[in-house]
Amino acid sequence: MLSRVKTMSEAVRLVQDSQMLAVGGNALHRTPAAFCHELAKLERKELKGVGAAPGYAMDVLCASGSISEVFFGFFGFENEYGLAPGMRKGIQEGLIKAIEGS
Amino acid sequence: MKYGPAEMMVIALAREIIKSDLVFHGLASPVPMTAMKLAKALGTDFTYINITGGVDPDWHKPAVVGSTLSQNLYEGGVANFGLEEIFDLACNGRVDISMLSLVQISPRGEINMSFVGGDYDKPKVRLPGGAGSATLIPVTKKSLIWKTKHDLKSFVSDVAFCTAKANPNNQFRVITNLCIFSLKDNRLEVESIHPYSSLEEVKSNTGWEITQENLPYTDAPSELELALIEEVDPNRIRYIEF
Repeated sequence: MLSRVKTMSEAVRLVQDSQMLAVGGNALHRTPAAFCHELAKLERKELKGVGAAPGYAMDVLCASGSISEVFFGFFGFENEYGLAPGMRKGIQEGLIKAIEGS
Repeated sequence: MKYGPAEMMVIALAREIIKSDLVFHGLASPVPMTAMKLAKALGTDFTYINITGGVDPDWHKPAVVGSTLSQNLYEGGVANFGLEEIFDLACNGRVDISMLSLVQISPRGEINMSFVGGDYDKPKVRLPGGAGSATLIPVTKKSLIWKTKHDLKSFVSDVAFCTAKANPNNQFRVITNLCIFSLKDNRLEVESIHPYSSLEEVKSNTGWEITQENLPYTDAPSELELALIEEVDPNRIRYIEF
């Protein structure tokens, strides 16, 4: 029988350059942090990230240079943890295109 | 009992909630969260919805962290009502109050949450974005915009970018650490000044001209309101925003 169970390092290899990736959770809550840590190591290019209120997990991918375009309503860590540094640097340097929606 | 801007803002927001209202706030909202709990503790019979999907969470349990995505806003609730359903409800005109914030605001009720300096594609400072503001403000019966730091950086004659805009046909109030504004004839007018502030202080921290005179003070917090804030927020999570 086909098993869909994979190790994290196998699972992240399903993601290829230029694909669009939806990342769940909001800000620092329920985000797939371990998956994004592992994916960041692959140094994929031109990924398009999608989330309602992306935070830590998506920011790791922004900081690793994997993301070229990001769709969001709010992108940050909330309150005392502030703004997302990877996203900010990428957008401010013109390396990441921001598609802000509501 | 002593009080400051945090208590005054929580109380001003809570006083806006009346019987049978359906009221929403999102993430990064410790002051609105405390206001919702205070209104519950005061006995106002309303429905509290929030970004976690919890409906009327148990307000007796105090929050221990500043995030308003935490289990404290879900546990003990009467139903699960997801964010996408909240947006549908709002677009059907059935949300009475949304509590939202700002980075910059103009006298016409234009709110910027997107960036300052440079342009959209290469901003000097990229901000987090308006979240649900652009959808919710036009369709909510009463938008309550809160800002804990009323200053010339935030209260500007023109915003760098308009992320969301007040709907002149609906109610729109801005509650700050100094005063309360209300949108009248498409312009923000001071409705009342908090007892510890003054018209001079409001004027010198607002980037557009205020020509109003002889303005009333906001009713000072009652002993009951102050006592109940301590009861619903003993860990003083509300101060995270100040």
